[in-house]
Amino acid sequence: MPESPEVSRAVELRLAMLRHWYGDQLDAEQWEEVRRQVRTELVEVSQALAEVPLDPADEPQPLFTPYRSDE
Amino acid sequence: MTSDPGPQPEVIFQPLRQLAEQVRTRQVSPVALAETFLDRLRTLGPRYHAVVTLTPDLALAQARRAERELAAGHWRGPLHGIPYGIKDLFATAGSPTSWGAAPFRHQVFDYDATVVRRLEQAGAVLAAKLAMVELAGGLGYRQPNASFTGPGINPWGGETWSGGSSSGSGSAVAAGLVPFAIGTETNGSIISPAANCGIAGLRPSYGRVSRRGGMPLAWSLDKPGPMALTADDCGLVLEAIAGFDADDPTTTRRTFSYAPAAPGRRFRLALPEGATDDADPAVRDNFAAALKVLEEVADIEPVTLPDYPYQAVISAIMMSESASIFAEFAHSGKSAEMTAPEDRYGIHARGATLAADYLRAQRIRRLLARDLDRLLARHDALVAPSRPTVASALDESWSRHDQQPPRAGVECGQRLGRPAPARPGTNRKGRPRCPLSAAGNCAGLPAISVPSGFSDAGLPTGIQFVGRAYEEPAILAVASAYQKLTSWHQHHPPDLL
Repeated sequence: MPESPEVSRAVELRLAMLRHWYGDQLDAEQWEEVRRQVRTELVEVSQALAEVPLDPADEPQPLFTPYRSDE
Repeated sequence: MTSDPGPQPEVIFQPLRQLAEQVRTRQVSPVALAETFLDRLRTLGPRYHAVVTLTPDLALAQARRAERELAAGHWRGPLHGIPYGIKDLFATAGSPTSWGAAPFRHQVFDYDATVVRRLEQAGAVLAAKLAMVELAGGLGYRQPNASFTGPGINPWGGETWSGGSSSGSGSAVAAGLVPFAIGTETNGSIISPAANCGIAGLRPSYGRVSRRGGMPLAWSLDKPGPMALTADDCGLVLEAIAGFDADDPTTTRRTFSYAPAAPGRRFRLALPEGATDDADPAVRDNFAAALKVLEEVADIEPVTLPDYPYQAVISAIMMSESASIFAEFAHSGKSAEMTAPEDRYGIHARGATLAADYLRAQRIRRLLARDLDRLLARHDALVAPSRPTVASALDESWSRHDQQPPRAGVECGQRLGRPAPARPGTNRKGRPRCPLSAAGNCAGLPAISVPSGFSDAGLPTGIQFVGRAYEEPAILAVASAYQKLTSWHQHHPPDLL
């Protein structure tokens, strides 16, 4: 399936950040794989998550609790 | 070390309860037992790429202590004097803990993981650190050859994979190299190798067993658990390793005491819609036969899992948590030393995970956990095939183009190396029809896989029971009831008998 412009832009924005960090670590073929991962495992995951309706009161599963050494 | 295999015929492939009785009544010496299994680990372990490090000095010292204690009339319980192996992801003071990855192969910790300490307190004998997929498969490996010790080889067929990421734990138990082993699961890494290798594997509820001293892959998903010959064995081991640990704030204060007993009524099982839709014929046929058997002791009701994007949720959580855990590793450039080529760049993409996506996944997680609990409150367990396929060939790989986005990694939950033009096993939004592994792991639910038969090629298939949080007794009871009605767990690789 061809990549939509919206997906392409989201992928390229994230890739730019990754290239800034790891540019000299990977070769062109590896960067192609990273790009595929960004699309399938980050951008498409983000889209799938966005489809679930949430109420602002739906809090994240791990709730922070203040620390006390005696509790 | 002796080359005499000692009392081999009587102790290999014996359920823990029988082995424990032989030890308790001093028919079998813990030292002889340790020597027997060390010998098998040393001679047969390489055949399956099952062992990273043998621990003979420690094992024999622990076995001698057990022998002294038993001679003095002090029996610690059913694991006293029993050898075991542990996934090489857990810290053991003074011996290497490689995490299955070449960059960490010389890593040594100066303390024991809580699981190791608890097993020592139970009198168990640590004989080996067992092989695993590098970094527990968290970098997105797409082939069995993803460990510096080589691909895990399945004792049921020399050219098939043991599964991952607890590869060595699965193959070592199946080959009779140890009576039981410890594995870990983030998303399938106990259930998958247990099914491939034809043994029992128990994924405890999240927080039931301390993660302290284990390599973190995803803090909110990682769960240590037992792998052994039977469900009953898993219950005995779980009792030894479960419990609150001040060094792991996620551990529960709910106690677990294993007292195998039938519930005094028929079991209530829930069969998720689409449980076998993407299964191989052998898996489907054996599962149908297993349901027939279970009908003797259980009422089985079809159900539909709550509609959530389980794979996306678990993927977002894993990607985010592992990105933080391995951030320094990613920047170090050491990933170039990983065995599987795809693991050399698998850590990099996740650095771009958005915090908003992680938090959204955790918000959805809360809802899906609530809805799954509502479903399970009416049943003892969900029942489904452990895996959709039998063990794959060693040279099969996940094609880079046929992955099912979003994929959560860690275990091979998808079909291997086969074209997937119609995304088999998925429905709308790319969701697998029966996303039980992702659902159960997202919600921290316990599960057990036990053998359900064999394919025409002689490879094991598995059936899994997924329970309500902290209801390990229920899934152990139903799995044990199934094993009392079947004999699949009494089959062992013929060349090892």
